[in-house]
Amino acid sequence: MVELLIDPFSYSFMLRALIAAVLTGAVCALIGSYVVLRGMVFLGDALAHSILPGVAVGYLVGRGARGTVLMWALGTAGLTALAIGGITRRTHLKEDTAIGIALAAMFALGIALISTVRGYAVDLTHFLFGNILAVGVGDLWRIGGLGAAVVLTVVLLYRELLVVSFDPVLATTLRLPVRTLQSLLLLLVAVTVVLSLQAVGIALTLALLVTPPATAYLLTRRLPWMMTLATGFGVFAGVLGLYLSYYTGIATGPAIVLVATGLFLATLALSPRRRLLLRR
Amino acid sequence: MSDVCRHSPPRLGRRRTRQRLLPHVPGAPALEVHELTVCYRGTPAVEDVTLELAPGEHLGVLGPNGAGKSTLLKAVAGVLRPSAGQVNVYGGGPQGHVCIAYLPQRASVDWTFPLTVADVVRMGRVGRTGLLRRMSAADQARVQASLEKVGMEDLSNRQIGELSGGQQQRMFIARALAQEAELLLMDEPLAGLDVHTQNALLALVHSLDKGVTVIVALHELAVARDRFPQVLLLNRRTVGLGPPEHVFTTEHLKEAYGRELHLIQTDRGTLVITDQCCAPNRQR
Repeated sequence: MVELLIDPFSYSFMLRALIAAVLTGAVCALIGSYVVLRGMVFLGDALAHSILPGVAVGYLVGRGARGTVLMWALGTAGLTALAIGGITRRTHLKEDTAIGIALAAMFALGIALISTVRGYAVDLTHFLFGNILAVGVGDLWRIGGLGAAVVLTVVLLYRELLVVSFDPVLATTLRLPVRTLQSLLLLLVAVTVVLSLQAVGIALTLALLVTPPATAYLLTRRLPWMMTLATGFGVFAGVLGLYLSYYTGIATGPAIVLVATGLFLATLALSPRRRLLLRR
Repeated sequence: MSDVCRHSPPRLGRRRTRQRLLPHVPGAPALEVHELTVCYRGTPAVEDVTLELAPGEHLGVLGPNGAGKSTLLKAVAGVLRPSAGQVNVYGGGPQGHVCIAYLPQRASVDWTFPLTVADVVRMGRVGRTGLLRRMSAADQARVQASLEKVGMEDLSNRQIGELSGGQQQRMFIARALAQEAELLLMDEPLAGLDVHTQNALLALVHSLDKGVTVIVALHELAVARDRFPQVLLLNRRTVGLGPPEHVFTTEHLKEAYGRELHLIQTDRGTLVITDQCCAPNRQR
C-alpha cells in the first residue's frame, strides 16, 4: 500500500509534477472563491482562453523558452480584461456579451497564429490541456513565485477585496479605490490562469478555478472557511489526479479535473441540509 | 430632452484620482443639493433638484417607481456623479467624506454570500483600519456597540441569508453606525416589511444620535406623513418639498403619480391609492 503511494515519486519528474499540482490547485481554489462568489465564472473562462495568442507569440519570440511564454500569456490576459471592461462601459452591451466576443476573438487569434507555423500541432495540445509531467525546475520557481504573489495579495487585501466584492457602493462610500481593487482582482485571476497553464492547460483551468470553491460553498457559510476548504479540495484533487493518471494512463489534466468533479458530486450528495437551503 | 445628459459622465470613479478626506466646515448644512441633475444612459433620472438639510434633520423621499429616488441617494452618497449642479456634504463634495452611509435596497444584496452579521457590520470599519492592518480593540468595541444599539448582538454569528427583512435592515443600520455615519441614506428600507416591523425600524432610526441626518426613500405616504417632518415628493423633478401637510396635496400627488393615482371620496375624507405595479416609466 505504502509502495503504491510512494512508487510514482521515485521519478523526479513525478515529484516536480506533484509540487506543481499542489501549488496550482491551492492558488486556483483561493482566487476561485472570489470568482464563484462574484459570478465571474464566464470571465475566468474567457481569461483562460485569451492567453492562447500570447502563448503563441511568446513561443515564437522566445523560441520555446517558458518564461517568455508566461509573460506574453499574462500580457494578453490583461489586455483581454481591459477590452471587456472597455466594451461594457462604452456600449450598452451586457458584460457577458462583451466577454463572449473577447473570448472567441482571442482564441481564434491564437489558433490562427499557431496554424501559420508548421510543427506546432503537438505543442498546441500541451497548451490546451496542459502537460504537468514536463514541468521543469525553472517552471516550479515561476509557478511558486506567481502563486506566492497571488496568495499574499489576497491575504493582505482580504477586507478590501471582500467589501468591493460584496457591496461596491459601500466600498465607494468608504472611499476605497474601487476601480483599482476591481482591476486588481481581474489581474489576480489572470495571473492564476497563466500559472495553471502547465498543470491543466487553457481548456480545463476553469475547473480548478470553479469546482473546488463551489464544493466548499456547499459546506460552509463563512468565507475564510470556504477559502480554506476550497484550497484543501484543490490540493487533494491535484494529488489524487496525479495518482489516477499514473496508474491508469489517463491524461493528467483531465484526471485532476475529474477528481475535483467527483468531490463536488460527493459533497452534493452528502449535504442534504445545504441542498434544501439552495432549493428555496 | 436635456442637453446636459449628452456630455455627462454617468458614473463616478473613472480616472478619478483619490481625493483626500475633507474636514467638516463648521456651521455648514449637513447636506446641500443645488440644481442637481443626474443622467442615466443619456436621459436624466433626476433633474434640477434643490434641497438643504441641517444636521439631525430627517427627510422622507417619495415618488413612483423610476422617479429617481435611488439615483438621488446615490448622487448624495458620491456614488453617482452629478451631470449638472452640485452636492455638498458639510461644506464639501461627498467624495471627500467617509461619514455617508448608503443602505442598499434589499433586492440588490446578494444574501447567499458566505458572511455573518458581524462580518457585514465590520465592513463599516474597513478603510479606517488602514490597509494591511488588523482591526484594533477600539474597532472591535465599536462593532460590538453598533450591534447592541440595533439589538442584534445575539444574531452576530448568523449567516446573512437567515435574517428576516427587519433584521436585515437593522444589520445595515449597525454597519452605518460602525462606519460612524453622520448622513444616513436608506433606500426603501420599509419595502416588504409588515406594519409592526416598519414601526420598530422607524423608532430605531429616530433613536439615533441627534446629530445624524437621515434621508429615507419610501413608498408609504401615510408613514411619511406621520413620521417625517419634511418630505420630498419626486418625479424626476421636485414636485413638492416641505412639511407633509403642504406637500401631499391632491394636485401634487396627481402630478407625481399620474395614472397610478386613484382618489376616492369617502365620508371621512379622501382615500388615496397609488398603484405602483407595472408603471410605464418603471424601465427608466
